[in-house]
Amino acid sequence: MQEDYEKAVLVCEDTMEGIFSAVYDGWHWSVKGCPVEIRTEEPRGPELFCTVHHIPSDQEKSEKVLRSVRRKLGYAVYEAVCFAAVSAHPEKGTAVFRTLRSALGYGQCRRDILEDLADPWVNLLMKLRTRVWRELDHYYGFVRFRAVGREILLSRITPENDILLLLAPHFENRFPRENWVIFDGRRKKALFHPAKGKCTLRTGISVEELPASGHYPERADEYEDLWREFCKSITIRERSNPGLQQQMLPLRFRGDMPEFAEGGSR
Amino acid sequence: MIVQESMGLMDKLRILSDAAKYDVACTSSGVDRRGDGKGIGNSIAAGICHSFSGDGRCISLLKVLYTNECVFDCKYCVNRSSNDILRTSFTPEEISRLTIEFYRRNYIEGLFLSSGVKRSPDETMEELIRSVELLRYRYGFQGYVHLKAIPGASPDLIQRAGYLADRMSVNLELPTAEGLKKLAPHKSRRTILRPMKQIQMHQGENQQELALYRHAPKFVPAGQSTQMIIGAAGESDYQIVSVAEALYRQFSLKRVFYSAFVAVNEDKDLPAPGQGPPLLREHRLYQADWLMRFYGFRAEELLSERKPNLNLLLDPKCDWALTHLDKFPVEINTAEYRMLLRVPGIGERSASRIARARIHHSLDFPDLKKIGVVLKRALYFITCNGRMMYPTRLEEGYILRNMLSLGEPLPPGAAEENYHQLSLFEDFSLG
Repeated sequence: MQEDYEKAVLVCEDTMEGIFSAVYDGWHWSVKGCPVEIRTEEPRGPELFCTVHHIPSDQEKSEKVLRSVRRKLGYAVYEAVCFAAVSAHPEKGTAVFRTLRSALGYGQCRRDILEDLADPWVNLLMKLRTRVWRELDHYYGFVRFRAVGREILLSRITPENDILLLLAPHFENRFPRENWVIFDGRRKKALFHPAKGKCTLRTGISVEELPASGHYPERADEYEDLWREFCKSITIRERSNPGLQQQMLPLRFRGDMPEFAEGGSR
Repeated sequence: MIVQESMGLMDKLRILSDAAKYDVACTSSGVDRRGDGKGIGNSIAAGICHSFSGDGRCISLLKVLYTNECVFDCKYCVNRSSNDILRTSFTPEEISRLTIEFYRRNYIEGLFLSSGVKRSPDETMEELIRSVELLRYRYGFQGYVHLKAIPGASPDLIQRAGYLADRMSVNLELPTAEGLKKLAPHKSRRTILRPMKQIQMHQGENQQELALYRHAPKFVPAGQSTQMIIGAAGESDYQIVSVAEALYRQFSLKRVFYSAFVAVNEDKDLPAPGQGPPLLREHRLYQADWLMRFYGFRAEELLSERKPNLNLLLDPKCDWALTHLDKFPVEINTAEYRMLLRVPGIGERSASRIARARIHHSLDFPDLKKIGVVLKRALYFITCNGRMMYPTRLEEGYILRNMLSLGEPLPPGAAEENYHQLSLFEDFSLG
């Protein structure tokens, strides 16, 4: 009986689906009164008084969780937990779980849970949400496509958080009749969008497997030169302010942007 | 005038974007329009910044002139007809192609097309319209378009342009009619304000139409903006701010932009070159502009005939507070929202947080810190439950001194009792 009250450490896949499957499975430990932690990596050393469970990702479970969050707690909470779930923070899973637990546990339905910033887990969740949202907002502007071959637009990003899937609705609506691919160089996965079709996500992809990747590094796009020229000539030299430029467009984004390659717009 | 007919796209882009850079507006905001899946593009109300240039300004639109051939001779402008520079023009095909190719690569949010006046205002306006028509109809472009209305173009052309563009603007250039006459002899108040009024009137009618027919075509849905040059003709901040206020009130403009004068020409009527643009003054004017648009200030509260210029050392709100110390300190827990907004250091976000939080329980200084209110400036002007944060004095000289010694985390009176050197002449008004 003793082990029923030990802390349950759930290890799941580092995806939205994995996290929410763990939330689903973690609920019954929590109801019994065990503290629950959700991690995306194996615990490093041995830990006392806790049991480690591996949770396989399950689409049905994750959809069930998300559906009831949206229905019971509203869109704002739904968006916040989704954003937090893709962040790069190691405690994101626990933050999502504990927040949902205090919103929906004990027979409650607190739709205003996000305002309870005194709760450390809600506070963390909101911080993660903001961080992910900021990065997403940056990437709406900073994604750069390169035309390869005749018909394909290819882009590479290296985001801190796993925002690839969140970019899909924006670019789907913006470029519905283009074949485009956004490749997350850090996580080796890519978003494929065929013209007039729906987006698909593929994981475990290397640069070589991308369509027309032979062209990617070598054959430059003529419009990249035009764009570089534009960025250079639009700068007013008398007002030069590289500090402000760096504040608005931090260096970590610049590796994937053509205007900052070879000399850039300084 | 040297007009180069056969020039590569690269050279044209360099020349014509270089000539367009002094136009400040690069906003892509104000319109929410989802793509319909048939063409390319959409528009987000908040706007998206796609890059930042070396001067720290956002690049969100492809900002170019259609042509830099110009028959006008405005003294502050690089493209004045008497300047001996390389002249060139895009064609509507080139402009629309360039925009689409940039847009596909997610470099830009749309097009900002301005132009020099080639031959006549009407002819130029027609070419601008043709470019945008190509973009909208041939390429099915649903992104953002900002079009300049050329001063002196005929009303029906302005009207056609308005249905194609999201935002239109006519630059006021100089706040006073005399300044305009001196520096831009070919422009007049009438040719600038007439299209502005026309756009405003038609927009009003369009609103009515849209209320009746939801799918009626939209006329300039993101509103219109304008721009004034700062520091070219010796006008005062009071004049500038009053003109801006009038523009917001009477012409319902979305934005007035201020552009610090950059000396590109030498002319006896212009300030001597080599001084650098008055960037700080421009910054203060933007601050004053914000106070008028979002904080409920009126122009005559900030400045007057007797005090015609903004204080460069202090932001306008601090400056206002220091001359109205009778209205302070403000009690955080009971003050009206409008008064909270007037406290230096408390912005819209902090004020609304305070207003929401104080419903639940009374606020003290640690609570203010926790909800994210910055107290660096505000602490001199507020009380929480009747107490100030530190023993500070509500005196103009004292607060001013502390405000100016920036970088100091606490005022001198924070840690110990505050001593003040007595002076027979000041403290006892002898002499």
